[in-house]
Amino acid sequence: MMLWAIIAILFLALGLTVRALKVTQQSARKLRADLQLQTSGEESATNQLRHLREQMEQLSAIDIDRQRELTNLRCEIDIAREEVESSRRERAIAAHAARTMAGDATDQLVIALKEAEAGVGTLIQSFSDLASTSRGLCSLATDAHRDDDDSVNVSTAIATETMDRFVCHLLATAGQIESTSTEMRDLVRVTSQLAGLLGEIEAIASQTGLLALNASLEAARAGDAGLGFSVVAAQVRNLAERARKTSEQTRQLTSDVSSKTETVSQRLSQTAQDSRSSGLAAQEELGSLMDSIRKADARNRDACELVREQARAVDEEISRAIVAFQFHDLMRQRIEHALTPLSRLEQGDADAGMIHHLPVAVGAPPDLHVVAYDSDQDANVTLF
Amino acid sequence: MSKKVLVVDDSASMRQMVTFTLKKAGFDVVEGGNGQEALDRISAAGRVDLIITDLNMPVMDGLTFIKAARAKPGMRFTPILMLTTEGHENRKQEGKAAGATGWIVKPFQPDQLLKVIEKVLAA
Repeated sequence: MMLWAIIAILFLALGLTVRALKVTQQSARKLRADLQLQTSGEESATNQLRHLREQMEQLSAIDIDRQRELTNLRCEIDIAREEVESSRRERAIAAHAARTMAGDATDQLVIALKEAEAGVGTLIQSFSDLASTSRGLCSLATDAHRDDDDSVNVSTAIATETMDRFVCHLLATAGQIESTSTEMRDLVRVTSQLAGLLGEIEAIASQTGLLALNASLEAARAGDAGLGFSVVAAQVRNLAERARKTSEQTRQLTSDVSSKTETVSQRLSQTAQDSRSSGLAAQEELGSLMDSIRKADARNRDACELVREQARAVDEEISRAIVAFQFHDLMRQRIEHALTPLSRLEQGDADAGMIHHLPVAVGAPPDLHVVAYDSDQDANVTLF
Repeated sequence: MSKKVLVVDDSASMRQMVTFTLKKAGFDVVEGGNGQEALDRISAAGRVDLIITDLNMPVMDGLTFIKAARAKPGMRFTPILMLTTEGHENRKQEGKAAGATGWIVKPFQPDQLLKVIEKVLAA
């Protein structure tokens, strides 16, 4: 600007000088004409002419000075013009550099926007997958254990009751077996008494045999008269012998029956005892098993509830993440707003002066609302 | 049968977020990257139950899209929600004049968006 001011002042001074010269020359021509008209020899005119000549000489001297000044001025103007030209070249170079930088900045911003967009897209996809997994787990947990589902408790109660009934029945059966065993032992005692009776029968048979022998002796002594009696005595002896043998066989059989009955009685007693023990043990084990099932069910129920809670927490976190990610969109719009003048600058739409006017060209940023997550939800909604 | 929602936004990530929210709630979603694409989607789909659109988009902006969509047969009473970062009252009035049903300023909250959708679909 100073350069332009100097140039303007120089031009102004040059103009004034030229004008002064012209005026002077006109005055000289007029005086010369007047001098020619008054060549009649007037002294005053001669003096005046001399005076004028002196003035002319002075003016010529002044003119030479002015010419010198003009030459100097022309030199200064040339120098100033070169400086202006140099400045214009520098500004052109600066403008080119600015366009190049604007282009680079635009490219970088576009790349950054694309990368940010891709990054946010990937993150959202990850959150989406996470949410799907979470929902799947929640669904599984819900299917595995509904809040109103009491099937395990009901089943364990039924199983326990059934087992109790079975054990009661088993104990009753064991009692009956035990009773049967007792009765069989009584039977063994009866058999022992029968053995005593058999001894009596054997004694009777022995006495009968002796009587039959005596009868045979008496019949022999009676001679022919005793022949018939002798036959009867022999038959009686035979009967006594058969009775003795039968009694012996019966004793043997009774002994066998007694022995086997005793064995069966012992086995029945053992069976009853085993049944009772097994039933009670099974009842105890089933009770323990049902307790384990109920505890496992309770743990399962707690785990399912925990999974549901975690799924709800994941949902909430994802909602927060969605709100947070939207600030990327705001940032994108602000950057795109800045990209417009940069693109114009890059395309050379603006000359070097554009650099000075860039803030005006960019303008105010768009009115983008930034809303906190926990703000009033309805404040951002308008229904027409 | 699930409701079909058309989501229009030039930002792919924004479309992803809205689509994620809607699909989670059981909606069937189609997407468009600008107003012109959205009009093509409507023609292809034959029917949409709701439209959620951005305001500033390349090729065709949201307001032009709404006017064009309203001119399509069967679209006169379809709810159209603007989802945009701009919140000036005069812009809202422009949206209303174009035929928008409602105006939501970003960032939206998923629960809030679903409540608004429920409300406009029930109306």
